[in-house]
Amino acid sequence: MEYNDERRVYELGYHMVPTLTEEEVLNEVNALRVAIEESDGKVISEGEPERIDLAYTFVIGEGGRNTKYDTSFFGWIKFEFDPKQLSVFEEEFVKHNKNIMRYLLIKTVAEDTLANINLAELREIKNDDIITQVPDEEDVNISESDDNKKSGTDELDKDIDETIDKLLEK
Amino acid sequence: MQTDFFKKHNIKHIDYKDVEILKKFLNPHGRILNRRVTGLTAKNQRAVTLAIKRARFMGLLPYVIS
Repeated sequence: MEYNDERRVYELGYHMVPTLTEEEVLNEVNALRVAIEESDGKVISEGEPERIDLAYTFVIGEGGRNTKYDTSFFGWIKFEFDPKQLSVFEEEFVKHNKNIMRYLLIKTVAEDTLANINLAELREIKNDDIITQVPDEEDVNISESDDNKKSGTDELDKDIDETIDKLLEK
Repeated sequence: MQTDFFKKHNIKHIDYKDVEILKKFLNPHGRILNRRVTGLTAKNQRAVTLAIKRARFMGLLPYVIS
C-alpha cells in the first residue's frame, strides 16, 4: 500500500452559500487550510472556489426553516491527514460550518485525478472518421464515362491554347 | 470489439468533478447507461457509477432530466 495507517490522502469538495462575497469565501477557505495545517495535515492541491449553477435546487434547513439555493461557490481541497483525527476535523470545521451548505469528504490519491482531455476535439475527430456517404450508382457511371470526358477536355485545352497564341500575336 | 473509453484515452482516475466525461455515460433522462452500451470494463463501470452518484449529490449532475 502506498499509504500507511498514519497518513492518508483525502479530498474535501464543498459548496459555500451564494450569499457570501468572494472575499468571505476566500477567508473561509483560508480558515479550512489553516485548520488542516494546524492538525498536522498537509494541503496537496486545491480547486479555487467559483460560482456555479447547480444541476438542481438545494433545499437546506437552517434554524427550522428551509432555504433554496440554485447557485453556490464550489471548490475542493486535497490534503494528507491522519485518519484518526479526520472525524474530529470534520466535526469541528466542516459539519457545523454554517457557510458550507453541502460537502463531500472522500479518500483519494495524491496525484492529479482530473482527466486533461478536450472532449470537443475528440468529437471533431470522431465526426471526421465516420464515412456516412456511400457513392450513388450515378456517380459510379460518371467515373466510368471519364474517358469520354477526357477527350472533351483535351479539345477545350487546344482551343484555349489557340486563343492565347492569337492574343499574343496581336 | 468495443474498447473501454478510459483505456483508449489513457485515463487512470475517474473523478466526480469531470462532469463532461461523466455526461457521456448518461442517457437523455439522466440515467446511468448499461455496461453493454458503454463498453466499459466492469471495474471502470463501477468507478463511473460511483463518480456519477457523487456528482449528483454535489449538484454537478442532475438526478433526473425531465
